[in-house]
Amino acid sequence: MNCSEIQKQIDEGVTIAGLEISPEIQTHLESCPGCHAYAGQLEVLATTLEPLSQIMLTGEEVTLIEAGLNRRIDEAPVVRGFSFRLRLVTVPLAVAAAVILLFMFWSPANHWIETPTFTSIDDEWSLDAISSEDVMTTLSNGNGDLLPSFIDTKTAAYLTGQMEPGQADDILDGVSDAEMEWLEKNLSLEI
Amino acid sequence: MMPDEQELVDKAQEGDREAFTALVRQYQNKVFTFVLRMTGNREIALDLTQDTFLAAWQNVDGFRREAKFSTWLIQIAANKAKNLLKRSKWEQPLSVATPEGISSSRPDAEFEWNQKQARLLGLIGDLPVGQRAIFNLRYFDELKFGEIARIQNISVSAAKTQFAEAVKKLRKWLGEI
Repeated sequence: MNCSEIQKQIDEGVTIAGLEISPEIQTHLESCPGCHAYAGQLEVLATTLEPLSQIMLTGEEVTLIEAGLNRRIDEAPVVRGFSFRLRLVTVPLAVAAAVILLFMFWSPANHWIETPTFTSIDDEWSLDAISSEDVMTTLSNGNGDLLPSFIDTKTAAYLTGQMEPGQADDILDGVSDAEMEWLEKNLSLEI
Repeated sequence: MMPDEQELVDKAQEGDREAFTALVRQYQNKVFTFVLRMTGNREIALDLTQDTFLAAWQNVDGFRREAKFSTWLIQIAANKAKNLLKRSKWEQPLSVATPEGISSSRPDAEFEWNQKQARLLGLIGDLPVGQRAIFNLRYFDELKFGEIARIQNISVSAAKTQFAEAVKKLRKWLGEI
């Protein structure tokens, strides 16, 4: 280490109790007049700053602090102790309950029904999102073309009971076995 | 932490006001002298001391014993002082309270003694706020640089550099007086 680095470490080592330096630096000070003088100046600093270590609260000030503090604590009570421990239990429980509720209500209504996992070519519809009510609503709104491709308008009409079973056989050819099975199960149909 | 202090902190965390009051009595001078050296104003230091202990009472649940209780208190005090100084735009050198307002523990304190303290507080008040805090924490409170770095939310090397800069400035200013 050069003298510049030594003097920086000397500056870092000064406290009101004295100078904290390593044995290596102490050895250097014994052989370097410049750094020795530099360290000596810190003793002047310590002597000069010593009065600031004598600052104390007066008895009157202690009374003022405690009285004011008690008044402010009384004005804004904080519940502690048992409720703190209770929070350690209730907060994780509340978070877990919120996650469960979110999962339950955010998922599609018939999530709990096992359905084939394929979807239609229409982005807005998938098998597990279709109900007979959806089909009826879509038809009554005149939006039959929004139905998934495997359920065309005629199929939808049949499925919602607007056609006789025998009249819909030829239009069900495009519906796969899995789709048929799903339709029968979830729309309560007998095809 | 001394066993009796640990017991006091445990009780304070349970809501025991007497235990907390005992902690206040143990550390109020330490907190007061720190904020006085930060602000140079005795009345403001008294208010900040109260603010510090109020915040400590309200948040003692959050004390995790990763550091000493006194270090945690000083951390609160340092933040309170810095926020006040920034709000008041007191990063300029402070006008120090009159020597009559700065008493000392010496019952026979003379005017000259008080005058010295006032002048020195003014010198320290000339340091930038962050450097002032680091200087006070290291020089007067003798905290380790690791603790100071945690309180100031800086690196240990930055704390050492800032402290050395403060020492250099004070050394120069005192030489010019």
